[in-house]
Amino acid sequence: MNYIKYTPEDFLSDDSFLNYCMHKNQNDVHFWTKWQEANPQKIPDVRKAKELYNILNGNLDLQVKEDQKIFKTLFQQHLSTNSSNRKVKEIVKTSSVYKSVYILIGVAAAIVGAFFIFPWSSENQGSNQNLPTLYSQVSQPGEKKFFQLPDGSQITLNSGSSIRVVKGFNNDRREILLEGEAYFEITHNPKKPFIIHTKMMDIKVLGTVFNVKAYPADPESETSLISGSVEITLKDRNNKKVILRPHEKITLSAEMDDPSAGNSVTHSDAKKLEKAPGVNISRLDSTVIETPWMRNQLLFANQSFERIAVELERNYNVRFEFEDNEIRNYRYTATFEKKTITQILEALKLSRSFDYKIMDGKTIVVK
Amino acid sequence: MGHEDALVDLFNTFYPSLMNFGSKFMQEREDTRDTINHLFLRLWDMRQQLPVVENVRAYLFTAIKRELLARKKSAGLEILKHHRFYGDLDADQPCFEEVVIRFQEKEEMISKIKKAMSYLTEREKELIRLRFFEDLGYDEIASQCGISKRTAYNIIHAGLTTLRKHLSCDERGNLFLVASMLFLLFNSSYLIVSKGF
Repeated sequence: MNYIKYTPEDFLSDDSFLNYCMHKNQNDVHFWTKWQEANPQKIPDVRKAKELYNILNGNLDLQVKEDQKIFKTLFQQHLSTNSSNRKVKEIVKTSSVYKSVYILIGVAAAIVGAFFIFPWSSENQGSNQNLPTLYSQVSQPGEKKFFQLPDGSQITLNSGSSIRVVKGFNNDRREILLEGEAYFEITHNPKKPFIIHTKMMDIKVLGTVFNVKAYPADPESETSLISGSVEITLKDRNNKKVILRPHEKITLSAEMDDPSAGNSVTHSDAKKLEKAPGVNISRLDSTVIETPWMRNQLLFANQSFERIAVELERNYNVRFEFEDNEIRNYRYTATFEKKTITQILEALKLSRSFDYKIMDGKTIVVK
Repeated sequence: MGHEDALVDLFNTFYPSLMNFGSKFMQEREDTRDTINHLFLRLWDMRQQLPVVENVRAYLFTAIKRELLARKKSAGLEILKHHRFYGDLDADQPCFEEVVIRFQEKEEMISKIKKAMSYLTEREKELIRLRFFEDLGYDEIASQCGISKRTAYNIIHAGLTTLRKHLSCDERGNLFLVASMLFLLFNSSYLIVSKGF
């Protein structure tokens, strides 16, 4: 084929040229890239052809390449989550010995995660903190706050959380910093991406509904997607990107949930697991409410008293003091809706007994 | 497993045409993209149960249309509905006026494309749309329009020459606008290929 004599119209009549423009076929992309290098005098004509092609296809090419990459990432994620889910089930099924091995693995992963996260997160947090603030919204412990941003997006702040709106909001992007937990309903605007910076991850959205939990004091940080799509940058993992689909949740752990559970993990065990330290993407169970706090519910699923206490401190503006280390590790599963702190403590007590005393209405001493 | 590359290839091949097809139902390309992604992952999961399909393109178009409409329904979107007042037979056509507002700033460019398009014959316009917007191959165009492949090729070639003469593509800053405008023209004034299947 004598492409040297081709006019822009001729290029546009060539199937392999169109494949190249739309990145459809790697061979064609390769061929036309090489061909242009070899025939630089034809580059202006190629450019003209490409421009006309863009007009005629609705300016798709600006998007197509990016979207193809997104799909590839999504597909790889899809493949790996499916196979790992299967593996998890098999291990749990076979025997309790494997089960405990699995728990150990989880703990090991968390330890490795902790090593990776701390040096990075402090650094990144520093850079985020430097973003100039336009104004902030803070909810006190025991308080929830609902407000609207200038672009119409709606945010509900859970207790003891804060949001700082970055200067230049709604100019060409929309950026905020979050500490704590919030439920977002973002106004759709593909031209101005909405970015939420947290300690461990940056969440980029175009318009969607989701919940982010990133209390600096918590060992874990999570994002649950209700609808739309979000792209998450894991700051502590070389800015690796993860794309969430509706009804998926990503959990990042910074340290072990329960320090007493498995300190005996050897170094070599931990090393093997460096690949995926503390990142977990799971399907949201439709029978479980992901954002119970939005309905004034408190939900605990096999959590240690210590963790529960942190939640209660936030929600009731109280402070816990444990005088007994064993009680600290008691585990409870419970759901509370619009109960007082005393009602909750009485209920927990019924399930597994302990004593407590409320001092000056604020400090709760557990023994 | 080579099958995995096959899915990515399939995606890359049909993505442009599915995107443009989807924009007849959805206001935002973002929504169409999510739906297409979802469809392909689902196809992967169901790959053992899928029937043997003769016309892959038609199969994908039907599937994506169903998904998009279901999605719109579940999201309670009613954006593209009221064009029924214009007497459109195909209720899935977007409302031209509604979308065009976004591009009003530079009216001289819009009129430029309108003008360039007006030099095309109806036949040229239709075939260019099928080739570049719907992303159909010459074989498909030929059989759909009942002409020979050579004729289809010639008509498109002539149309492109006319367009390029009247569009002076060197004003590159305005290209995006031009593109969006043509996109809208195609989108609003033609019935979609789905009638073909």
